[in-house]
Parts: sequence; C-alpha cells; structure tokens
Amino acid sequence: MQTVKMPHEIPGEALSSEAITSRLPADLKGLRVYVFDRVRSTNDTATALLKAEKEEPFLAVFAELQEGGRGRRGRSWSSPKGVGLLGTCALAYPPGFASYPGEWPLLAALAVRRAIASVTDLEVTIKWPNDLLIGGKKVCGILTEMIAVRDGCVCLAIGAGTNVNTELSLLPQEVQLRATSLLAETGAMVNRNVLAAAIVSRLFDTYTETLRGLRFADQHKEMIAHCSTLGQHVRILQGQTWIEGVAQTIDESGALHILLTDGTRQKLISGEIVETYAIHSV
Amino acid sequence: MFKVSDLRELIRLVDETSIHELHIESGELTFHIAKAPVVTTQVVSKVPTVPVELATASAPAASVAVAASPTATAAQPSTVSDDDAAHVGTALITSPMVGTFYRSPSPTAASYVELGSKVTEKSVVCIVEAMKLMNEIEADVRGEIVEILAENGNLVEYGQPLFRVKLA
Repeated sequence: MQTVKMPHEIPGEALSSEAITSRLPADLKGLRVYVFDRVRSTNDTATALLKAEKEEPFLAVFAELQEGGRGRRGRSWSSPKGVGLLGTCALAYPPGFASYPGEWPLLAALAVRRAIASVTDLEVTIKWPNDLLIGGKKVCGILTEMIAVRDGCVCLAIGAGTNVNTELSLLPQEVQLRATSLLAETGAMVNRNVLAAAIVSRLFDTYTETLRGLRFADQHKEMIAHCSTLGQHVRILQGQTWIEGVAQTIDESGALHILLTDGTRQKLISGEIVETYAIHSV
Repeated sequence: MFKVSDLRELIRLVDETSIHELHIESGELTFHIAKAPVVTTQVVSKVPTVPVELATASAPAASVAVAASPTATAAQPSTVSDDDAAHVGTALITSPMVGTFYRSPSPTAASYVELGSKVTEKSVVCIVEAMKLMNEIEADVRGEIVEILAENGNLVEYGQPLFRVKLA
C-alpha cells in the first residue's frame, strides 16, 4: 500500500491501528485492524485482505482518504481528509453456516448507531434501511456488500463512512442542508480512534451473536425504537418506480410497510427513500 | 440439490403472494406447499436420504436452471432436464433473491454483460440489491449470453430468469 504525505495537519489524534486496538475490549485486542493513508475504497481493501488472510474470520480497515469511495449504486462518497471516519469490517462465516446476509444492512445500522451513541451521547436515528441521522441530517452512510472471496462461505464487507470532525461550513451548501457531523452536533472534536474502536467492537459483537443464532427479528424492537422513517410521508425510488405513502412499520424480516396514497399497503425490501416529510406538513 | 433456505424462501414467497398452492417436482424431490388454512409444507423424498444442505443464502452465486420451463421459474433453483428443444444447450441464470436488478455497477458504468458476452462461472453478470445489500451475481456457468430476460432497475423475484446462456 502506497504511503502518501499528509497535505495538512490532521486535527486531533491521527488514525492508527495501535490507537484503535488499544481502545478495544481486552478480549478483542487480537482483532486485525489496518489503517491506511489512502485506499481506493475501504470495502475493496478489506475484501482483498480477507481473501489473502484465509484463516481470519473478521478484520477491519480504516483509511484517511478514499479515492474511489462509493455509496449505493456507485455513488461517490467523498469526505475531506482526516476529519471523517472511513472504515470497513469484513467478515466470513464458516463454510455451510446458516447465515442471513440480507439482514446485515439493518444489523450494521443498529451496531454503528450504538457505537456513535456510546461515544457521543447524541440521539442518532436510522433512516430505513441503514442511514444514520442526527436531527434528520445524515451523519453516517453504510454500504454492505456480499463478497465472493472464499468458496462455500458467506463473506461480507460492511463499510461505514461517518462525518466526525467535519466543519459543515466547508461543505457545499446543498450538502449542509442534508448532512451533519459529530463536531457540528456536539460542538467538540471526537477522537476518531475511539469511535473506530467502538464501531469495530459493536460490529464484531453482532457478528459473534449471529454465529450464535442472532436474527434481525431479535433486534426488531430496537430498530422500531430508533427508526425516524416511521410515521413519515416518504417518496421512495425502487429501481425506476416511484412509491409514495406513509411509512407505517418495519416487520421482523426488515421490510418497510408503506400505506400508499391510494390506500393500499406495500411491503418494501428494496428502494431508496429520496424524500421524507412529516405528515402534518403534507 | 435443494437447500432448506430455498424451501424457506419458497414458503415465504407463497405466503406473500396470492398463490394458494404450489407443487414442484424436481429430480428426486417433490414439494407441495398449500396455504389454506395455514401454510403447510410437505417434503416428499423418493429416496431415503435427501441431501439437504443446512446453509442458507449461501453465496452471491446465482441459481442456474438449465432450460427451465417458464412456468416453473420460481421453483427451479437447481439444474433440471431440458424439455424445450429450442433451448437445448442453454442455461438460465436466475435470481437467488427478491430485489432490484441492476445490469451495471453504477448508473453511468457499462453493463457487466451484453448479448454475446462470453462468461465463465466466476463472471459477474449483474447486481441484485435488497435492503441495500449489494449482491454481485456470478454466472455459475460457462458460455455466451444469448438472452437478457429482466429489465434494468426492475424488481425481480426469487428464481426469476435473468439471463440465458448458451453453454460452451
């Protein structure tokens, strides 16, 4: 991996695998945590490392800069250098294990939400299925990919990009309306190594719990409690089709139930919520 | 080989649709799922030991049904014998899950495959996305894409044919 010189001083403590590992609980200190200055995407790097380290069931990759960071459907995910936290946990289930990868985007949202809440005490909500918001503005995006790196094993790369010490005034105006950062919300710098350790540890906990049989249904109530989409009027783009109505609930499979404007109900398992508004404003 | 996960998915599918009864015969196995008054499942095996694999949603690899008849698409997650002369020597790549079908990694990128594209077992042919989980679907067979059977951006069902491949 190429090392590049930092163009400017990074505020606060620089990311490092030692600093992250030192904040992990004692029983997780053996986890592989990698930090790079610059990668194409942390999901790609984590995928390559999981493929190379054939015995490793779980590893984490963080980077100061992503040159090809991407969100859903190849959308670019950019973050000013040194202020965001860009990381991926890659994991592998044992061969033949009954895993439920389709539930991971929701489980990951819950795990990362817990991590941010534990470090900041902020009220973080989930926009179905897995965006994290503070005060209705996006603070963290998650991209979960199934990766074919080991024959017969379900492997996943779970990438999360969090706006940590981002000065909102430096972001484009249209982004400021929809995004926020932990700095903007708390008024104080957040140590990214501490947050990284919290995220790794929460995702690893979820992974080990799924190995013991955890399903999304077991955390369904927590999702309902923290999902800010519910009760809102939403416009959803599903492929090329627009769906509009009121988000009523999320069921135990993770599907979003919408009461459509024509009075019928629809269960969604795919689609992106493009707009959300409180019902009283419609 | 039919997996428990396939069966679970089928039951869910029947449960969520207006279909009341589903009868499938595939190789050594016969499945009968009826919804009234509640969903019940019978797995009838013609041989004493059934190779039921306890893995679920095992991989992004697609289910491949060789020249499956169109009426049995959702029920053919494994290779079946060909009964359509026009499709001899071809295989269908079917969706392993319900989700949105994308032919390219991003809206501006080129499609993974076009008509005439040569694929190997490991070639990625499309993405099926559900709950924001991106599943790169591999061809699982070697050959040439001769039909594209689903529309980019549309919702596809479990087992729905996505591509037809002329086997090499």
